Amino acid sequence: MTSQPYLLTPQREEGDRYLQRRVWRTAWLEATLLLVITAALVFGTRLFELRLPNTLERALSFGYAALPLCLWLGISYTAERRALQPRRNLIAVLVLGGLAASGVAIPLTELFSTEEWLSTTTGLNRIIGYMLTIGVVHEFLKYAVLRYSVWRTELNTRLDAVAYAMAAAIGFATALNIHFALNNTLSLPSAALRMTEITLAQVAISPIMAFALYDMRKPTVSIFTPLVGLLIASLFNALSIVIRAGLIVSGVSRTSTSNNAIYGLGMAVFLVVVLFTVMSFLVRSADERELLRAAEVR
Amino acid sequence: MRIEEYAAPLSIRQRLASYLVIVAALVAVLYGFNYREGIVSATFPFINREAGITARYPARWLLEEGGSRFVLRAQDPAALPFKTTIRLQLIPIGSGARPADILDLLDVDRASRLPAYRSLSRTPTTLPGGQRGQQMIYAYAFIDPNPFLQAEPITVRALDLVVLRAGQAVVITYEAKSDVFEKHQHYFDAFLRSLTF
Repeated sequence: MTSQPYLLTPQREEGDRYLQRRVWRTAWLEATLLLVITAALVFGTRLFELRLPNTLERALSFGYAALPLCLWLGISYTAERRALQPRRNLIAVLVLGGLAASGVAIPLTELFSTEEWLSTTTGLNRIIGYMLTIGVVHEFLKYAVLRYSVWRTELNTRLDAVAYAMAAAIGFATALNIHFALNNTLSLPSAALRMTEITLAQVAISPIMAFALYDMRKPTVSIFTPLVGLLIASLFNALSIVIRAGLIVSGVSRTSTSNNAIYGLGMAVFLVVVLFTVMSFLVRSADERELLRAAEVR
Repeated sequence: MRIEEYAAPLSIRQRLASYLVIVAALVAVLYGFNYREGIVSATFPFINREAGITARYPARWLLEEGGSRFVLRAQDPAALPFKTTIRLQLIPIGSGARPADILDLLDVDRASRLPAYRSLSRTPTTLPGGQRGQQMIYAYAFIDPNPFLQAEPITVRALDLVVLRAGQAVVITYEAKSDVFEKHQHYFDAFLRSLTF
């Protein structure tokens, strides 16, 4: 009788990644669902020439402001609760993001009143102006929410940083959306388009600071890492505003001189596709590099 | 890669990185305000040698010169629905004319042209260059001439400043939507400071 060798399956070191929610998958799903719902609303109202009473339209706009939050709760947060090792304090980060937006970002944005002085300047001035005002304020606040709440205790992997950064961005975007819904009397499709753009831009840009925040946890980090992250994230924030403004201007014709707001979604979709793809690649390759380095040391 | 149980005190680099990003954000926001001031207060020169007038008008505004009713008209294209306007016109006068006579003339002309026109006050004034004159504040309802816009009338507040020079009255007018009249008046004050004739 020959004894069969008893083989142990080698433990895969990266296996514990799946003990937690798969951040990119849920983020892609939320972004796609938000886009599909918004596109269906816009084209549906155009197709059926739906006309709602003003009060109902405003109420629905207000409800739409909370849609990204509902999607996040229904997809990301539910998946997180089902994971073997759920990330803690995501809701707290989300609430902090919302508070930072409503308490600091919105008053500061009104103080800057950028639309009064940047709308008629050159493209380069607009990019620099939006970057140094709205861009830096938004991205620094989202950075500060993470840095002074969960940074030391919860950011154990790069994906953790991305998950918390996206939670802060959803809270931030929800506060901006509610402020937008309360202070504008747009039709429901126009309001939905604008709020979708705001949400997608905030969420798409958030992994940049997440990447820098995770690197900050290493004692040998370069002192310029978070600064570079802040500048890049602010630049993307500014570009999202400036390019959107350029995209929504439709051509002047004999029949129409109005803006076509749906083109504005183009910039948000571009940001989501490019930044999600690039950042997920960077996170994966950085993790793999570190695993290889750790294996070499052993 | 996982960093477990990270509770060690922060390294010098980590502390510096944290401080640097705070300082950079503050500097960026302050520079943003400064940048805003630079753009808002930027001006272009206006020179009309024929009329002997030089001034500086806001760089973002649209300039029109040589119209039949004015020497210069600068309008803020971003001020909607009524474009904030600075206008300068020259009116020939006879000997013995006083600034108040010119204001009377403008009063009569505008009362017939502008809907709901009301003269609100008249006061003597002195320009930054030292010339003495008289100013009149008035209001009227601006109705967009395009009937397809179906826009409500807008209350416009305006200020006329009349100064006399040899054979001519220089009338400098500032017009703005009533709720932004004071907010935009710094443009007019800067224009007056740069005006020479």
